[in-house]
Amino acid sequence: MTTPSPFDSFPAKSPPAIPRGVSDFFGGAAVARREAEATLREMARRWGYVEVIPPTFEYAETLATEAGPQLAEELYRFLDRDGRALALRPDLTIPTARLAGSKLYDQPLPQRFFYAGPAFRYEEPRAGRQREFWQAGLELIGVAGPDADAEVLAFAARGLEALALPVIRFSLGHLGYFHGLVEHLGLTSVEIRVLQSALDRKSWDDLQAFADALDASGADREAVLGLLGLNGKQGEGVLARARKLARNQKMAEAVNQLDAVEKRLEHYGVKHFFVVDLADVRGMNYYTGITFKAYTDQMGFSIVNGGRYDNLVGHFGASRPAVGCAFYLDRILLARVRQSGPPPEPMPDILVHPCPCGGYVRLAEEARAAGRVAVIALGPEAPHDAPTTIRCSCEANPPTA
Amino acid sequence: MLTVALPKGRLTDDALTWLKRADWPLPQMDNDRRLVAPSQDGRLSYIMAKPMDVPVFVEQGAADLGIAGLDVLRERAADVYEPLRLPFGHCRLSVAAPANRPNRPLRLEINPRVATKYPRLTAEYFRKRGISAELIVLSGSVELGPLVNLADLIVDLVQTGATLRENGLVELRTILESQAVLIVNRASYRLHTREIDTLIASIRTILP
Repeated sequence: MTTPSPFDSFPAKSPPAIPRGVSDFFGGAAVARREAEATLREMARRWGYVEVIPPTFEYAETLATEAGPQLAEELYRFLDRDGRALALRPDLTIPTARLAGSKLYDQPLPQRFFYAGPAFRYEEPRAGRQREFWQAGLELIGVAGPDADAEVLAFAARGLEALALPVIRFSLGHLGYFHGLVEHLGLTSVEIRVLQSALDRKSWDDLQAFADALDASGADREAVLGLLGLNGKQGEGVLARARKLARNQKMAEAVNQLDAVEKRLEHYGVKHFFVVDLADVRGMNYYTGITFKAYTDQMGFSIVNGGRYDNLVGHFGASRPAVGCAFYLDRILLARVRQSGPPPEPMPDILVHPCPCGGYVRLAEEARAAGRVAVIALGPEAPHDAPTTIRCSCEANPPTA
Repeated sequence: MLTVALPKGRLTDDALTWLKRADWPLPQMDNDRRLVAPSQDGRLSYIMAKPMDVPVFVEQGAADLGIAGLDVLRERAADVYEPLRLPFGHCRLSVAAPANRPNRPLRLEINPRVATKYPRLTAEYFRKRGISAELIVLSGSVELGPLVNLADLIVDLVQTGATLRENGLVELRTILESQAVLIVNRASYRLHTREIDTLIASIRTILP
């Protein structure tokens, strides 16, 4: 091809920069992104979840209040023209909870919501952690109990299966266990942070140092030190050990709930994806009950996060138990690229050559109506490797003048 | 097969000694220039990385486990599990100044120039104390900074203090006590819990 294209000379000047932490998606990557979203949207529809589309930005105070200090720090804040502080949503759970609590409070329960769209956090960008990132997820509002928990967990597992990730592993925890221990020991907020950090990094040394500094009695000390061992597959006796280490009703109740949820996961046939980890205490402070994260090969960060958050909706109005999950689409798509290569570039099925009689339009339209991707060859830049090329019969038998 | 990232240099010998004692399959080190070496039994694969890069390899999942200094782990702010501190590589990250610096608190410094290989930890240390330091980021021979009037202070690793003394520097503050740490990629831990737990346990049993 020697025809000069007007585009050959680009970039003439240095191209405009884009800010750190945001990306352009195009070609196969954009298609794969929309397809992944569509897969989850269609699945959610079949499970009875109806899409909500919350605004991209809201008053900062709405988004920051319950979000916990870390999320509040990562908010993208800016001023409205009237001087009020706004923020880009750091996830879609908070806006959805606000909608449910403050507007839909008198609608029948339970309410099942699906959402999908970008969210924004000011954090150090790295692969799979951008400042603008895409989430899709569920919120099941108005029901407590293991059936609701298991429904969301099963959706998360089935959703990842539908997104064609070959290796999936979930860790399942219950914040009630940790909170119960914190209450029992009467920890200060500084102590809670130290304990949380040790557990989050699975650092035995720091946990030991914490226990030493706490100067706790035998059983209390055992409960603290035991936390990092409460981790394993079904049949490894994690829940039995957790029950033994429980120091109060709240801790025991957390174990009972996990037990009940696990039984239901079996009914869904997804239990093999799950390991219990009661020391997994990272994450948003709004969770109150079960929490879970999903992981896959070649992606160091979790690809689905979720859990029960019984106090968040009530913060915006009517008090409602709720459980939900969010798929991190960027990480899922990145993991898929690492595992099985980049997505295919979109190609037309049929290339139709224009002809003087105009019959090519009908040919293209017929192909499109039949569900094929039909492209009219408009110029030298048209794709050459479309599988099928068709021409109007008028070109073979040119109309006689 | 699990991949282990080991730091090239100061920590290599100690790391290999402890892994050997813990009965891990060791890398075949017949050729020193090789950057990737399988263990003899093929159960593990080893990556030899720059110490500063080990946390990155592990965080990104290029290695499932690694041995890194706590100093570089914190400098890189790597989001990994750190199940075990290992009993070697002890040193500290310190602020040091020329011995003839007037004896006064750091907080009285106005825009000190600080030479360091640890920009993140250094910036955080001075920011927290309300000192707006100018960072001079070097990749080696940080002690040189004050000698050639490139910097007023340095932040660097100190083991015995001999290097500082030889260059007419004195330690002022400790930022971080460091030692070697075993680190694990978060997802790898989920996907290979049993193998990784076994490896961790084999080290824990031989720790003093």
